[in-house]
Amino acid sequence: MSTLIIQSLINGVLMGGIYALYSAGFSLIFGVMGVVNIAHGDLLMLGAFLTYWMFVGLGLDPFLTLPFSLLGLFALGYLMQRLAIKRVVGAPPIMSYILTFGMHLMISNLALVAWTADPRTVTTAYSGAHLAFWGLTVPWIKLITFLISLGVVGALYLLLHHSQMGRAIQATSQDREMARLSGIKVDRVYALTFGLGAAITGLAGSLVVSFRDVDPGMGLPYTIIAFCVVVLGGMGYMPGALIGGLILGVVGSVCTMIFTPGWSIAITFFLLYLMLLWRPAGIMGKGIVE
Amino acid sequence: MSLLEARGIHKSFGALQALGGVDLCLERGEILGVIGPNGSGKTTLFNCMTGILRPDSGRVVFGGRDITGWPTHRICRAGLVKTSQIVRPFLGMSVLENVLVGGLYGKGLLLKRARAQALEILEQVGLAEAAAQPAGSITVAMRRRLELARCLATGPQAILLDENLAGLTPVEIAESLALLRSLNAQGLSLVVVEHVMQAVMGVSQRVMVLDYGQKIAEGPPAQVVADRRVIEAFLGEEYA
Amino acid sequence: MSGGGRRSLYLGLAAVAAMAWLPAAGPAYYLQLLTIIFYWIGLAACWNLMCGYTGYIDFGSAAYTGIGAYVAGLLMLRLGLPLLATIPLAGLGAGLVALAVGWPTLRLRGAYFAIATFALAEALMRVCEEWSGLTEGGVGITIPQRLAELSYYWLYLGLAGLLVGVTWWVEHHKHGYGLKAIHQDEQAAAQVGVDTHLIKLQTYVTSAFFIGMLGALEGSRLGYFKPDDVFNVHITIKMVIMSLLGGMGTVLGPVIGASFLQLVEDFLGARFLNYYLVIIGAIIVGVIVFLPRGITGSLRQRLRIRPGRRP
Repeated sequence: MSTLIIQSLINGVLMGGIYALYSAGFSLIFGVMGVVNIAHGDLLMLGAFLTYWMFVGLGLDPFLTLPFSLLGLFALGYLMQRLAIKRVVGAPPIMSYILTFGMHLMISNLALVAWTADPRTVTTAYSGAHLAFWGLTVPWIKLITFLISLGVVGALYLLLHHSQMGRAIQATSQDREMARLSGIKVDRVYALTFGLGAAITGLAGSLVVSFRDVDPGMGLPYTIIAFCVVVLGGMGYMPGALIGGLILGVVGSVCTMIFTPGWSIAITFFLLYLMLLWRPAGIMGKGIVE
Repeated sequence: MSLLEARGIHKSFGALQALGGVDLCLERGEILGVIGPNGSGKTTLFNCMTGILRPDSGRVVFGGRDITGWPTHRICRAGLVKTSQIVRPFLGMSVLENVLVGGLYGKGLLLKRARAQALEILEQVGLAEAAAQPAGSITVAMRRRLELARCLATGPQAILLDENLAGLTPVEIAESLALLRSLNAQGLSLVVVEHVMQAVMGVSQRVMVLDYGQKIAEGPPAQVVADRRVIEAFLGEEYA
Repeated sequence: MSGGGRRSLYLGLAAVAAMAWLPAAGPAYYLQLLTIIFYWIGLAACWNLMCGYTGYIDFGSAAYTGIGAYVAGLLMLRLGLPLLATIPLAGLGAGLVALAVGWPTLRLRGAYFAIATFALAEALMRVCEEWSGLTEGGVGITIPQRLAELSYYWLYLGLAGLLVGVTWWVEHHKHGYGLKAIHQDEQAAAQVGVDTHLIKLQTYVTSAFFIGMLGALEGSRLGYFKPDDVFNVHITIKMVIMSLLGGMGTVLGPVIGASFLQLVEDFLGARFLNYYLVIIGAIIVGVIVFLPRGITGSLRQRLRIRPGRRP
């Protein structure tokens, strides 16, 4: 029994890493622009398909496709901001929900038409490899994915706090007008931010390919998980994504072990709801509260 | 008995103590001035008295009733309202509609009566011509008067004016002060917060001075300006 | 009440009367389309009444169509109540849940309110799926009773007319000013005596009551549904988009938005089965980017017509 509990804790933590990764993108975009991006999970889906097709078409190892999805999704995010999202920055929040919901419909349904609803899987030579000790198993792929996720979230944190671009992003998120007056090109910062958020989300998509199947409808559930993670950790507070991701991963995994997956999702949502009522600024109390 | 009495109001934000046990007392028909440098706790005191903030300790008594912890709208209906330092008209509504809301909810009037009252009040504060304009399109000075009009529509016994004169020209200030005096003459009690000392001194019958969340002086204007601690607080020690 | 106000009331009543007479004349296909349009006008009007006027964006309104459909369905299945008796009970059920939910939730603002309501609706759907002892779970339920097709037409027309009427009444009375003041600046509204929490709660519960009734009727019209059909987030999103397209916080917004989107869906769904959601998405994106004030608002602005309301 205790082995089972430890195993589900391990599974939860490993899952939490990837939650943290793509939620960090969501949190970044919300924190800087105040945009709730409902198409967020679809960006992850696009990253996943990019990896899938490079694996199938070019025989490229999924981990080698990471730079491509990073760059590809950065470009897409940058364009989305430039062409449409910039219209809703500073507008009532409903505009951003609706706009990004429209984008969600477009992206997921175009993907559905192009690639059909069939789930696809990527199987590599090392897919089944795992560490085994004390009756526990840790798949290598999940462990590596977890470490990459932590690394990328860490890198994002450093980028935001210790680079020129990061400081421009921080300044813009704190006070758009002041940033503009001090010579920051706010539109460019927004486009970079959205691109960056999309890029790490695409990266997360490329990573999930290694241990789950890929289909055009996979995006929305990921958006919803990002909501939960970000609310738990505090909206717009970057380290919060890590904390929220790990909590949600563990809670989800333990609930699945005790109840059914369906109940586990229901509990997750109730948790999210209660969290909003109790501490809208997140566990650490460092999120943005309107 | 005083109309409004706050006793020992404490309020802290985290480690920062904004108010350290402040007393305030407003008599019926009086104009009380409250002055103090920026950050001395004037707005916090007002917010604690009108239910926007909940004091950590201390009581607020209005018209004989303990109103501590009451919600803002209930305090308003009991007859105590405040204008905000940052003017906040309902931008999407017309000037008249802004005042209408006060009459409908603060005073519980029916629509027809509330509209008639709103027109009277706009006349009184000098905004009658602007009645149909969107509240977002009028000047700052007009917005300040609109803020006051909206409070008047709720049928208050006392109004707390939080820097209602800030950013006005000398002429506009003189007009506003005349308006305040005439309202006072009709029996309305006023608490006037400004950090412009002169304006307050001229209109107030009594003045209290806040500094770092403490009351450091209270009395007739002439006496307060001569107080050594007041001069220190405003000008620094070397002038005292 | 102003003369213009009374005139628009009579015009509205005349329009409803004309629509009620229509079945005697029109071909069946159009009646079915109109039935669905009235259903959506009703839902969008409910959403607009609460969210359009107060600016609180409820992303979990489908919770109330779901609760309505299940309350009515289970009362018929388990207790054998007649369909028409279950409809108001379904509204009551939805209203009670809205009261319990709204009390704490309406203290949240902005994105937090939106996400909280969304989370709650999703949670309720999962509970409905998992609690199969009560709800038959993901298998779904088959409703034993159904009204005549024309009854749905008239009921939906009646409810849509009633809800637009309620919106019109709110717009012209005290309640509307309170809601709009909350939308503009909740703190300032409280400062001039508006009991913001009470007004929001009243409106939220009223809106949920009618959404519950509409959900219950639609459940019986469908005859069979699963939790995923009646709690679906797409139902909420459709209400939101219809209100937004027509113009939020206006009396006729939901009528215009719902008619437009439902007609477009009907037209596209028949011709471009595969692409129609893509096109709907593109329309939404296009409207936000090019017509941010909704169809009516933007047209008004283009034509330089001021909103025709007196202060």
